[in-house]
Amino acid sequence: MHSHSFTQPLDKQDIQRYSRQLMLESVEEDGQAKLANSHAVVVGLGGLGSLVARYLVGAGVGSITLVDGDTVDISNLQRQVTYNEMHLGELKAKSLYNELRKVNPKLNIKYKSLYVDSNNLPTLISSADCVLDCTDKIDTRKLINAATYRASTPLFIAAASGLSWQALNLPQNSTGGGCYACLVEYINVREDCLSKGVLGPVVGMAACHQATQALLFLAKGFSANIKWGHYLTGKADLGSLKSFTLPSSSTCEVCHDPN
Amino acid sequence: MTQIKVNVNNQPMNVISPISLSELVALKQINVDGTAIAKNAAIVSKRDWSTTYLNDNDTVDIFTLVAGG
Repeated sequence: MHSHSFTQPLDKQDIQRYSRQLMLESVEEDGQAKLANSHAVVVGLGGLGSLVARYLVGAGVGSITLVDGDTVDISNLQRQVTYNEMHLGELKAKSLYNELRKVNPKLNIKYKSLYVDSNNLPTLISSADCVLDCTDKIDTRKLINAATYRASTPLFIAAASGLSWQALNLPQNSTGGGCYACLVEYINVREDCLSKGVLGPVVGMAACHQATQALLFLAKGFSANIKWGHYLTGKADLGSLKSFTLPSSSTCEVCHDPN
Repeated sequence: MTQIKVNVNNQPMNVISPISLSELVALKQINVDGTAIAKNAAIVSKRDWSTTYLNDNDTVDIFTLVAGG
């Protein structure tokens, strides 16, 4: 997929390692090869990102960049399931890197212990086939949306709070639908993980959806049978899921072309 | 003025037409901070709430956007 890609046939160990997903029509051998040649950037390594990254590694995404400037706190262990007491006080990016290397040392996993901003984002995502927004701040989410739109890099967003989780896949290629900035335009989104709390598995549901969507895309590109531009809202208590179209806003600063 | 039937967050509701999305959230006394609205499964920009009117049998979903991760 990305410019450094090359195709290597699966060896015997790979066939064994990935046997359960190779059986799927949405992966198969060609999809597995594409996963191996893909680069995913995971921004935010908390409840979403730590789990998302684990699934990307498990599935054999060849290059993964882990980005977060935070350290592991005891209050994280309730939902950030790849960390444990041994990691307390350590940088999340480094801790996660060390854990994921144990899962598959053959993958090209890199970590950046930093917080993203408008200056470092373009470089961080420049060779990415997709970006996964696993952050927890609205301003950071807006920056990631703008940077991926400028780079035409597909973006997989997920979020959770309380017993609700939400997600959005954005192709970021001006095909007509709205972007994240269209969604939150004029809306004062609350910063809610601290104030409202969240149940651990609810973040996990969001992360599992996000990782699934990204893997299906990385395996089959835009021919993957996933929904782009639909805002998904899930209620974990009711087990309900709704999907809404997101029209582009005529005043959006990111995706609206005044010409 | 006519009475119309709409479905708001899976609950049937009778309202007097014309009624906009802004008037609907005011009527339901919903805190609009962080709130998004979809009409017939399409999200309506908050800028357009006051000019988006409901028709008979419309479906409205009002939900809070979350950003935590």
